Amino acid sequence: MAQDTHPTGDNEGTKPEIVDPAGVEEDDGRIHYYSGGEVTELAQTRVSPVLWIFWSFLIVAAIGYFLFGGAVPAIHRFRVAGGSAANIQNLQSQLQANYGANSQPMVQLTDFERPGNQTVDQAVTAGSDVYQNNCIGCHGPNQDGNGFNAAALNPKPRNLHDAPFMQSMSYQRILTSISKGVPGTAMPRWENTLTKGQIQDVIIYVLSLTDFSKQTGDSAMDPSTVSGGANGSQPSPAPATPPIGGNAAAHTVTSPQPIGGLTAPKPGQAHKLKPSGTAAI
Amino acid sequence: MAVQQISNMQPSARPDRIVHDDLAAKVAMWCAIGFLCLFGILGIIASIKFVMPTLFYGQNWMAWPRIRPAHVQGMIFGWLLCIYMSLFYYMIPRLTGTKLFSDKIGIFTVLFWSLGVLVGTVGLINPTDSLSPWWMTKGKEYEEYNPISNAILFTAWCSLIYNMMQTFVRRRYTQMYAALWYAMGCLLWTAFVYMIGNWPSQLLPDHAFKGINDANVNWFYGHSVVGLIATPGGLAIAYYILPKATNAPLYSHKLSLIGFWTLGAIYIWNGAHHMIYGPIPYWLQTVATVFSFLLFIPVFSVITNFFGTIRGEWHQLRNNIPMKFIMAGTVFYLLVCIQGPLQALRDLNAVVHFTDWVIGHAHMALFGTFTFFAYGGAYYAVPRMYKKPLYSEHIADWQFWLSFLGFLVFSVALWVGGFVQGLQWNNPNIPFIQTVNDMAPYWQARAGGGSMMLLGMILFAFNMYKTATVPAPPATEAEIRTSEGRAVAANA
Repeated sequence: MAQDTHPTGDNEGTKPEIVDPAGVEEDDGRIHYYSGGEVTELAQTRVSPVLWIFWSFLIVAAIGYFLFGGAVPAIHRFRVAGGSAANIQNLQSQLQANYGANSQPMVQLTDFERPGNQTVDQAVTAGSDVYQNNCIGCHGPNQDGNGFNAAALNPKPRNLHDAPFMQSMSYQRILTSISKGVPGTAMPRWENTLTKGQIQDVIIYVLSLTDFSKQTGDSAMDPSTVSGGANGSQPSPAPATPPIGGNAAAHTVTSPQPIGGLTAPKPGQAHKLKPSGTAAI
Repeated sequence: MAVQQISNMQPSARPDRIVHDDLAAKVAMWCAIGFLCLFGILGIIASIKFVMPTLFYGQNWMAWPRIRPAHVQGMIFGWLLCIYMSLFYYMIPRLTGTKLFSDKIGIFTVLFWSLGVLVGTVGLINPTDSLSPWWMTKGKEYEEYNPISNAILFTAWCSLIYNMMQTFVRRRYTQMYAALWYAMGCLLWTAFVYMIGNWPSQLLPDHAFKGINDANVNWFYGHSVVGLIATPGGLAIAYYILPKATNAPLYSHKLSLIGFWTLGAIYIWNGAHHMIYGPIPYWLQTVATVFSFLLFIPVFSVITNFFGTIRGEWHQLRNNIPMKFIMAGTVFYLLVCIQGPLQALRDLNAVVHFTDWVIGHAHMALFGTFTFFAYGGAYYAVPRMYKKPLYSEHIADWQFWLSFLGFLVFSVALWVGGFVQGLQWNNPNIPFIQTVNDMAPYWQARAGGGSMMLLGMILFAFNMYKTATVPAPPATEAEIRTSEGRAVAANA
């Protein structure tokens, strides 16, 4: 608007006629008046060159970080995985002392309702067949995530012998991962490929891998012998930990709901949640 | 063209003397002070529960997960936005040279807004243990208030926008001072951010944000509550109060505009830095980190401007209460805005994510900076609303030092403790329960510092109450200034 006033006009020194009782001192054109002298501003200030330089540097650095930030090595890896064997032993004995005294497994492999008279061993064998036909390409012949497809995958397929991790997974979580796939990874959704029974079999098989009390058939892979994945790729670290609480079948069950006809652990046996401790593990 | 236009310009003419009765500002001030004390008490209970976990044991409605969001939401929406409304009602008519468009709408706005805060708070505390999704918490950080409360708050804010915009279009001064830019930014961005963030995503089965998208929107909103709601409102107050209270001309209007527009352009990108190492795309996290660093541009423009403004006026810190609060807030603003971008770095984030460090950081923004700005604004505006000198500078001094030192104890305890906590969490050889035990002394210090902050709030409420109610003849501006120890500086 042409009638707008602006403090940076040439005649900025013209003072308002009425001086605010709050008072601005007599000036010689060094002050701009806003809102009729309600507030004032120093005239002839400029943004410091130091600030401009700082800001320019910031913008260049920001663009550079966005483009090449991934190439900068991390200063320090805080996400330590593992620890010395003695420390882990110590931790586990503490956990055992605190939480494992009279621990009951959350889910027993025998808790699953199986069709007919299928035994756990039969389910594991059936699951092993499913594994051999469908999973081995990525998860590898040693179930350690080093299948021949794994070299091209980021993130790498899960090491199914990773006992601490596998024990932290609920039945539902594994079921969802297999049925629906895992977003952001190469894990596809299997619910249209495998039958529900096959999925349950393979879950029992996968759980049995870290269940050292039930080593059966070809799943009886002693973790210490796991080495060298397919195609000579890096061997995954051997699962250094024996099962926490002495029973690897103690898989946490968050909320066992029968989904899509798959029968979750029987009610009554599934809810043996300990009052505390499992979350800490 | 522009040169011609500028050279034709005349400085603003003063209008006839307008008497502002500030009715709406007074109502908003009392709502804000009431909420400050209420939610301050909830906050101190939440912090004491870390020291005495059995406090109110067995009473569902006093459980920590209920009073903690009630404290956070209440402090933001009950205290901060109410006092922003009050100070907007105070300063915008003065800066536009006209009366507030409607005192009735203004009072309605504040009371309806307060109703929304109370409805949301009762829903969060949930004394009836209701499970109705229309009533209970929404369960997402910073947007816990239930949908009924959201609708009330949004309606109230729209009426505030209407009232303020009607005031703006009736303005006598065509030139807009920086505080007006920031105030308008606060008005518009709040509505925009609040609507997006509180979209009833859990109640609508379709047409809603879900999963990762929901988390992204949640943190867009969560960060914008600080960046696009609290920041422009608080800076509007500081940009007005600091030059007025110190009687010094603002250092640079150009800097303030750089700060304003870069604030609006950069802040909305920052939400994703709350989910670094989270399930969102890696590049999105990097974008958030980059824009977090670009925030140095608006922040340094503000800091430079405020320090430039009081150049040569530092001696006023001795007895100028509003300036004390504003400058302490400015220093905290600088610190919190150095902390924030550094936290967005992956290396530091790996340590401090989820720890108590973040609580200290959030309090430095919302308490150390914006509450201090609001304190300063109230100490400047309330005596002028009631046309009486401040009841007691002595109490105000006590409040300042209690708030300042209490906050330092509070935040330093949380920063040190949070860092230790993060390092311990990153060490798999330390049992989790050990990291909880090791936090005990820090949590004790936090509760102690928090108590000092709460005591300061109560002194503030008392001082304001006495200022408003002590019988005294109306004081002139000069008399109020004299009572503030600035008679010489006034020079009128």
